[in-house]
Amino acid sequence: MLFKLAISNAKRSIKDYLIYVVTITIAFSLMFSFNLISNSKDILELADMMKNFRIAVVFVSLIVCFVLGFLINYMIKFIFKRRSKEFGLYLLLGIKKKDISKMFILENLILGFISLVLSFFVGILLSTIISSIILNIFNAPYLVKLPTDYLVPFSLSLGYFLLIYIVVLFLTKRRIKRLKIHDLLYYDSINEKNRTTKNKSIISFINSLILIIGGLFIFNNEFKGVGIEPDTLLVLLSIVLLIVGIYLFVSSFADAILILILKHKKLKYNKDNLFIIRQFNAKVKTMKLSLGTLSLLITLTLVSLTFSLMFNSIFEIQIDTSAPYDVTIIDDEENFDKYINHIKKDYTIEEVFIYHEYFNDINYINDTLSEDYRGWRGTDTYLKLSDYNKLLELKGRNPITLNNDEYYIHTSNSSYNGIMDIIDTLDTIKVGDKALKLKDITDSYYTSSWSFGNGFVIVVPDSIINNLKEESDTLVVDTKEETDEKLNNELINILNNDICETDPDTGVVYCYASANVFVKGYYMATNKSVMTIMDFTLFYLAFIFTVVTGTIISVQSINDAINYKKYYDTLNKLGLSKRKILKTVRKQLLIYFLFPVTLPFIINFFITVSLNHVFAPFLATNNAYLTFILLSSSLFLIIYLIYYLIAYFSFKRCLEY
Amino acid sequence: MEVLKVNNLKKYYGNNNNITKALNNISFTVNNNEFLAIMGASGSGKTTLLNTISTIDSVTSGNIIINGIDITNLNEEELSDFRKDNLGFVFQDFNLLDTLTIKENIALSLIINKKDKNKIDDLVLDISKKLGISDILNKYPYEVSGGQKQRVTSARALINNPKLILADEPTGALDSKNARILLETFKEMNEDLNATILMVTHDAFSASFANRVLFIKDGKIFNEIIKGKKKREEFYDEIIDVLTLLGGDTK
Repeated sequence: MLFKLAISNAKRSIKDYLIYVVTITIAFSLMFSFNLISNSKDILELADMMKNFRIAVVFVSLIVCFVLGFLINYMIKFIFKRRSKEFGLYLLLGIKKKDISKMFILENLILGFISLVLSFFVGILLSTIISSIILNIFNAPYLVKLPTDYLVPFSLSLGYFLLIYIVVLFLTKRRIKRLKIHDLLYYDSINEKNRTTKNKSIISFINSLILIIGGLFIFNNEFKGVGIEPDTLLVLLSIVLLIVGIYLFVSSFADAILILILKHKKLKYNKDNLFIIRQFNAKVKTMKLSLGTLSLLITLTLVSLTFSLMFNSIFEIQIDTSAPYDVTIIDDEENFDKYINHIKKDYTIEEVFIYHEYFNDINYINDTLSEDYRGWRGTDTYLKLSDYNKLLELKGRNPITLNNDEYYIHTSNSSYNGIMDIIDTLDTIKVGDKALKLKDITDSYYTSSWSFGNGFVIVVPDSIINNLKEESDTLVVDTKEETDEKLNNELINILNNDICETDPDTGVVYCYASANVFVKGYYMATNKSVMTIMDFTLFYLAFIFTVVTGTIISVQSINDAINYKKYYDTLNKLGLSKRKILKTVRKQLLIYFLFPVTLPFIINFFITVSLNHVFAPFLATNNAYLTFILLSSSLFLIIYLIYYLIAYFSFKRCLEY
Repeated sequence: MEVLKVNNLKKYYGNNNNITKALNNISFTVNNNEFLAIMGASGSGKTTLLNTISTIDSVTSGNIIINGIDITNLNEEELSDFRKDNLGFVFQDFNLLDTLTIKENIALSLIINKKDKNKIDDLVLDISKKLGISDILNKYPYEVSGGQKQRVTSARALINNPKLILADEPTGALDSKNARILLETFKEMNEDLNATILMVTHDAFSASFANRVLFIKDGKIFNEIIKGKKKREEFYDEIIDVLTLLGGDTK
């Protein structure tokens, strides 16, 4: 009978808390699919770096376990509270507490198990989709096939599941054990607190603002720019301040706004304000701890989404700055045939381009440039206009034009500020006996292999090139096929054979010249691995955080619809039309949903601004971060909106409108 | 023979500075096969009294002896067994379980306490025939009327033949017709099935079905009247008179 009751109760719970069951099913599915992918040979063998994927997934899964544990614990508490009278009745009928807790635990285990079993099927499906995306990123051939190795992923998922449930059910058991029959029977009469301690909450509210602003300020101070090492302790302090601030803000905001509105008659008696704010106040106060945690989760979601978008863009630009051409080799021209012959073995060569870097007698830039921005080369790098235009063309950019008495500077993001500091001295330079005027300076789409050892190039008209001295030679090869990591290693071996020597006694390698190899495929593979690992794990995490938040807020608001149906009926009798009541409901839900989100949006904005100080030099433009904030916020809001709509329609159904 | 004996019962709420004396030295007894009503205005302490006897609330001092056992000395585990064997409950808003049929609801405590399966069916059928609900046994609670639900609750309270049935405003959620049917059921339970009933109510009409009425005011017993050979209507008038004197609820 205990079992039968548990089953029928579980059935009812699935119906009543469908959002919750669906959410944990999706969460378990994602967890299982990530276990499948991170243990799949096809994926791990894509690149050397991909081995870290497995570790990253385990790490993230543990965080997910923690958050899912929070959700499941919250929901079990919630369901228990809603059914407290029923449990009181069991006690009254002489059923032992032990049996009741056994039954309730069994019920929740059944629910969890159903989700887990379903998640194995959905997870396999998801894993094939995600695998195909990853394989596509690596341009690897993909055949739709099911995962082959199930044992490890399956055991891991089961392990995480048990970890969550053992802890949560242990907490539940302890909670039930402590309950008195009287508490159960009268649980709903001690529901929402409504005491406003005016001064205290206003002080807390102000304190929370101080903490948050202080936290953001310290964080901002620590991330001033490239190369300035942040103090770990201060960064930690700022994070602690933010966390405490978030909790304090969430718990005091409702009172502060209530006091404000009650003070102003215009606001107080405007339409349904009074009803909404009172309801909101009571709600927030009873769940302030959970709301604080949700705010924290959303902050993490937004920051990790923005961060991963930012890094994606950085990596793309990194490839463009370090290796925009299939192969770039800096060495002596006489060696180039060796490389070309080697590349020919495996690749179809579409174009070979060789150019020279030059230097001038006077170093206009390096001699005046502040030390922070100076490269190791010492001399300024000059390029011929025709070479430079060819390099631009190979990158898919438009060529530039120069008059015979003009020159042009192209600098990297990181050197730009340094050069701008001394721009006054660069108005006119002399190459031999010829004076050239600065036409323009740019820092976009710079490529670091253009100028070996400097962060800039000076472009001069072809006609004056005889006044300069040749410095080094560069080979650029455009291949038909995409290059790979292997080619990079082979070319480096050829290079090292030329310029390096191993000391037979000590085994130490000495290299006698500065030369280098840049193969696009190598940078792509490395960056793709890091990007894939980071993107997928952070998106996974962000998704879980979002759905957990959405679930809790939806379940809470649907519960309100059931509890406060009579309030809305009263409003209706007081002359508010059904259409207007639904408008009130929409407004109310919007406030519930937006409340835990607003602060995270603000914090995310400022944290991204701070991080941008460090990352801007690696990004396409200085304002690129705004796009990332916008994108991450929209990604979050899209999923969140689904929960809002579910909540609204369930609410509507409960009110029977 | 006494089924219930309440001795100098006190129940205080609050802290040192602000004490509410919900029950202030109450003593009375309920004999076997008696139907006792306890009346009082809101806040008089009648529900607290019922809750202490129901073992839902603890007492500050005094004894409650049911069937010879002092329940104020029992621990939680023993109380659970005690409730199962000795008490039946009919409360105004103690809903039935939606997931179970009427039959299963009536038999719930027997089933969970693992009684013989064949016996359970007989017991349920027997009691539901007596209360006139034998034709709805296979329905679910949401398929039957409020009056029927309350009779199902009564059947559930009676099924294990408890020493004492405790009822808290049993007619609270019913219309007058169904209230009368339920009270007549109570009377039958008392007269034909020999059940001992303790009912808390603020409604004079309900109280007039009892053999004896205790009036409580401010946590103390204020008055007591016995029906004796009087007609129910006469008893009702008498109750109203006391209530007027009490200055309380005269609905």
